Amino acid sequence: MASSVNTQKDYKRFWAAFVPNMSKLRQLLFIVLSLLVLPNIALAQDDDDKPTALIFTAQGQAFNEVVAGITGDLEEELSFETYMVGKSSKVSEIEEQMKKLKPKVVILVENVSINLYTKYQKKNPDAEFPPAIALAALFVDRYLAKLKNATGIRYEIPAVTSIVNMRGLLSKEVKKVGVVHRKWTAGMVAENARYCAREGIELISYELPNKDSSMDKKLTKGLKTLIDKDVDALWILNDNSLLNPQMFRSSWLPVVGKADLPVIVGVRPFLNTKWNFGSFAIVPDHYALGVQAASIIGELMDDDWEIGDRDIEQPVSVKKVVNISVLDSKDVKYRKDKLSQMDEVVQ
Amino acid sequence: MKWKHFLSLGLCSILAAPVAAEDLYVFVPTDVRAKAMQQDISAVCPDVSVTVFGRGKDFRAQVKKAPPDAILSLLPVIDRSNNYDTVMRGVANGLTEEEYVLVSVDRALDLGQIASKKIGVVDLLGRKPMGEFVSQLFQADIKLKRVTKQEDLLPLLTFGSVDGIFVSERLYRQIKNRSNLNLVSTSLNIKVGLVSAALASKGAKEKIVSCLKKFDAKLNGTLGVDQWRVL
Repeated sequence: MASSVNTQKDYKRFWAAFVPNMSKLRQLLFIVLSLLVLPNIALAQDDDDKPTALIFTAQGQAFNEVVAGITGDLEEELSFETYMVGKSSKVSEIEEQMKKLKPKVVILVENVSINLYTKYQKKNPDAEFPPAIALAALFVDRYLAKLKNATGIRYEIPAVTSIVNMRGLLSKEVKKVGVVHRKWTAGMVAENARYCAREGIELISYELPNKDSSMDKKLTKGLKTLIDKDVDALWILNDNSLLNPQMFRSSWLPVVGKADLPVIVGVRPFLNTKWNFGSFAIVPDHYALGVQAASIIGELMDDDWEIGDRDIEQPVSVKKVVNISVLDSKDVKYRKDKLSQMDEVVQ
Repeated sequence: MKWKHFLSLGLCSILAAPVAAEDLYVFVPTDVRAKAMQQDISAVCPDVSVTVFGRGKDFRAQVKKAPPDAILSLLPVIDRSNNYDTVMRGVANGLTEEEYVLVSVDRALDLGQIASKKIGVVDLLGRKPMGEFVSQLFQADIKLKRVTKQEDLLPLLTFGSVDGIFVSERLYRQIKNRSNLNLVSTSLNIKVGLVSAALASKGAKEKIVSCLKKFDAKLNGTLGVDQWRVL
């Protein structure tokens, strides 16, 4: 009890020192108001103390999911600011946001953001840049080579991820997988072949020139060559020069449509049943991609915001779609008990 | 006779009135998609409103926003969900806990160097609580790489993003079945509680117990248990 009395006396002395000229009623009112306001000031102070993470992102559902994944479980530790950019955005906008917010970390979602930020860095060669993470952008390696203090996550799903996921569903063994690619992606295909080899999968590639007036004929020949080599499946790269509507009609459909092989594609529309073409679409899980970026941000926080010699990461999470009508029509056997592991089953 | 009519009408109204189904939230990382698991559980428990979550964050947010009558999850998740009392424990091979191991490629991890290694885990609890939970189990500060789905652990090893992954022995066997990588496990003498059910209100106990007891071998197998023990 004694300590309680003393505490009350201490309060009175404390407030009397602050509010000596107030009446008792006013003092009471002041105390009550102070008690209501002070915690909020403290909270606001806490919020201000959080380091700022600045996200430059393009618009679109997929990118919104990426941002949700990034911000999701770091909201308590970081103050996130998101700035939308588009093709008409200017470098001055990036500059303005950087000056205004002084972020501890910058996250660049989609190629437009990366391009603008690269220009911003070039425009300010002597500036010190916070660590940046680039993701959800095609061929991110090329861009990161031009950026200072940056790392990232690739957007392209590695062959090994796609094939191991497909292999888990198929009844037959998958030991040889064919891929047609242009010369400029040879390095990426070779890297994929190394990962596949460790999983006991031989990735057999057929290289096409980067440009050729008779690319459709060369593509047809490449696909036929791979099928003649008895590949167990085909892995199709997202390369607009090879996967445009004209090439699709002239080369892909006539050859692959007739082959009784499972075909892995990187975009969902190629699973259309009427084409009898793609049987598996292994596509990025955009929310999980954001979570992967959040994990890198967490590591940066723990490492005092130092990027160090961090490698560009491969995406680890995918969404799996299977078209069982196409598999059935090609007489490719699969395990029905594993369909519950697919994100979507097209019938 | 009028009172008899009134009584009949009253009884009919009571019987016809919709009975609020008990809410059961489920968060158990498995290879089966949340939607498929929700269909399976709902099929055997039609009188329970089942919601299955694929991500821990969504589960935690929804438990906070609209607390359900019951939750079904791994014990570490239940232990950190306030206001829920465990009423049923999943049992596998007679035990309510399972052994966890560290899995790496080609070479076993040196536990003496564990603090300098990066370890992959499925995120059950969120960044900080998960870090605290694993560090407590290892009695050392562990650098974690968290993933949202258990199938994402294998790519972490494939691409060398981590030195090892921290998984149950059961999950290790599943990953080994999927992969031809030279996977090596390191025993840890660490056990973690299996899937359990917990209640916010005792009123729901009978229905939830009855629901879980109806799970077939396939559903139990997905959840990593072979039977249920009522506490």
